[in-house]
Amino acid sequence: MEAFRFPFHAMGSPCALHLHAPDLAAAQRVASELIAEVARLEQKYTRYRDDSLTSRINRSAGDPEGVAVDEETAGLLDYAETAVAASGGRFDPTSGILRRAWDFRSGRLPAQREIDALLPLVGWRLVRWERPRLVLTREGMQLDFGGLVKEYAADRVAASCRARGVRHALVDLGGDLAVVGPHPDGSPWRIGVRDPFGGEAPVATLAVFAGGVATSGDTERCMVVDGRRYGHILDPRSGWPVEGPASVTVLASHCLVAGTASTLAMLRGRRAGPAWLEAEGFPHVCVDPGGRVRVAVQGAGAALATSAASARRSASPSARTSVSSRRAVTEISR
Amino acid sequence: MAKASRRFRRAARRRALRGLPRGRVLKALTSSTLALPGLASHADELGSLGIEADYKYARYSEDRIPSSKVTPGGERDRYTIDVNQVHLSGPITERFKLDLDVGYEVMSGATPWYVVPNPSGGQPLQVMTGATIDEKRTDGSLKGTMLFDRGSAALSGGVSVENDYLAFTGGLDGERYFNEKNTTLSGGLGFSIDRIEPTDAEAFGRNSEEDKQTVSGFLGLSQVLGRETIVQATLQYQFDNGFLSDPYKRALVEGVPVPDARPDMRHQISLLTRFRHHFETLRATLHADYRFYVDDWGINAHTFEVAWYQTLWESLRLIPSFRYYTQSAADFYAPYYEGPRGDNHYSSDYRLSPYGAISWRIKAETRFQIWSLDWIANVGYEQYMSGGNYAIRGVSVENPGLVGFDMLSAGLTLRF
Amino acid sequence: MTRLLAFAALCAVAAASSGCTAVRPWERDALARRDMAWDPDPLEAALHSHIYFSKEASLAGSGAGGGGCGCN
Repeated sequence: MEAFRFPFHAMGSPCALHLHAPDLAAAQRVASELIAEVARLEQKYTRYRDDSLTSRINRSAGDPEGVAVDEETAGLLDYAETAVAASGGRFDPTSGILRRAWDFRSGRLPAQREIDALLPLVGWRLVRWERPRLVLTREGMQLDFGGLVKEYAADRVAASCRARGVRHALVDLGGDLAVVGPHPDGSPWRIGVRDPFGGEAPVATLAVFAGGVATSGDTERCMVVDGRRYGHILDPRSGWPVEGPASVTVLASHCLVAGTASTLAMLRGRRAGPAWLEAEGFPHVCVDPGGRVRVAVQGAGAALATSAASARRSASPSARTSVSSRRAVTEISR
Repeated sequence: MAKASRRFRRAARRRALRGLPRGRVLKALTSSTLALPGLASHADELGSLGIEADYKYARYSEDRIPSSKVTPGGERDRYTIDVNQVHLSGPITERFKLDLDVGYEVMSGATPWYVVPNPSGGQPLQVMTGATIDEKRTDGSLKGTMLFDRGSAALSGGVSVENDYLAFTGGLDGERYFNEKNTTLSGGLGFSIDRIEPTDAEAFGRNSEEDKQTVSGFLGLSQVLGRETIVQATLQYQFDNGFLSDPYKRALVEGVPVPDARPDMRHQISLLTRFRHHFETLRATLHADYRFYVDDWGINAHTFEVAWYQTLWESLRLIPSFRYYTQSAADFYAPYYEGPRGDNHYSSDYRLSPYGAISWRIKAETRFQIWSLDWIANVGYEQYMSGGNYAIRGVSVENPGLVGFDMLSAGLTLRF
Repeated sequence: MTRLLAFAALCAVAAASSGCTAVRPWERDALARRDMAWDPDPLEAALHSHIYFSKEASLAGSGAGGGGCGCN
């Protein structure tokens, strides 16, 4: 078994696939298929291409017929619905258009009326989703899969690795990671959590055996106006930026779950966010705006494995179900 | 119906937007993720490799037949069986899995032979076989299941071997899901070809070899009634043809023992209804089953079973259960016969007599991890009592051979 | 008999009205529990089925497939 690394660019970020394979040829075969899979998802769900599914959906806004979507998109919409429910409406795939009001490079705050003009087009209640038909009920509305596709792609790549018998691999899509399994000798992947304030050293190093890791950060795009910092993560209910932690990194059985959890924590605010992660049982690393780092990961492995295994069973109750597995899916450094 | 469904879903969504209760978000998101195409393999459900191995040992021992019921002589030991079962299950590909079952049991003891009237005029008496039958039975079966997005289909085959009995079985069954797996339709067909070569056949005037064929089918429907409730109804039909009598039993006809002689065809129908409900706050689940049975030999039967699965702490489960059974007699059954029957069918087997049975069971189950593998260990005890007085309708003459037993069992499951 | 018919009718009604009580995939955590299965311990179910089949006149078990033993 040798270690291979395949860097590539996708979804607007530097990505890499790390895997162990018997030889270069085998590794390249797997890597090229997986990189192509990421490219497929990017092309399908990006809002930057006119021929993407997202653009087609957005063009249908206001049309009562809506769009009939495929199985994959249906699954993502079902997932989005769960996430919206879980966040009490804070997480909202229709909130993308609020971006128009915020120009972080200008250093200028938007006028309230600019935001007020956009708010009526934001809200999951304006989406009528009944498998397989999706209807955006107001003209000008926009659906954005951006908060889901990168993490979903990471999970797809990990699942594909498993299906191909590649059990020791990690896929990194611009900081959203899915770990298939540890190194062949059983040792975990060491993942550094970047300092949101630009420091060289990572604020924490995680040892991950399997599962997903995702980070929500508010410091990359922001502006300071009159001494107050305004981040780029907007609360869809008000149209204004949330006052959340500087960055939140969450670990879960899947990158998609980790990504949604980190976003939800961010949207709940600097105090309520980490408290919510704690109550839900998500292992996490949190950096508050003051720079304080909180690592809540120790001993979380068992809780993570139990809920992941029991949730696996939820997908198919008619199959012979298994007892909750205590074997850690993600064992974090003890 | 579609309009009501849309209205309901919109209302459900509004309710949902008020936020899920704490602690459920992780589960909800993970379940939702697993529903996405390509993210969950069926193997995932059982463990990372999806392989499961089970072993169970059970010791079944019948109560002695009391001297008041047996003749000649006094109290006699009855049957004891030691059963070993092994089960292996694993995925061959993402969509295909294999199940292997192997069983080995050792049976010994005396069994009822025929019934005689009581010389003192009381309830009839049982004559037991003199010889202690010491038999071993081995059986094996293999089942291959194909998994689809909306259902599954399986093919199975098996064989059972004893010194005097050989049987081949086969079956085909499938499941189809509807309404996002809220409704499941299941069905199947099976057959069995049996051959019996009774021991000491010539000495006892039995045929040296007899055959029996069975064809059966079932149709079932299960429905999710809520987040914690599910019900199922299954209709079963079985047709037996061939030698259906018991070559080791006799019936007394006008004072002369004649071989047990049952019709050579039998149609059986049963309707089984099952109910499962989970009580979240009590950390317990209720099982309630009822079966109605009827056949063309004149027997009808009812079975009621309830079980309570109580989870204690994280890794211990206690399961008490209770079963009630009642059956009516076969048309041609009698403890003994005062005159011949026109159809020449005779049987004094207690299994065709009218009676009821009660059994209670207690089982304990625990899960643990060793060498980072998941284990489940269980141990159980059951006590079964039967009698004419337990039957739903009064029984004037109870068959003296009615049996009670107790059974101790222990099992181990390994998942990896 | 009426009890039986009522139960069967309940199942039929439940199935027909399934559009009103659909449980979504991510709400299935309780249903997926092992103790909510029809047979949480299949070996035990097979053992009981075999024993009751050999002690009693009626069918046991919930599927097709013959008895395959000489005990009845």
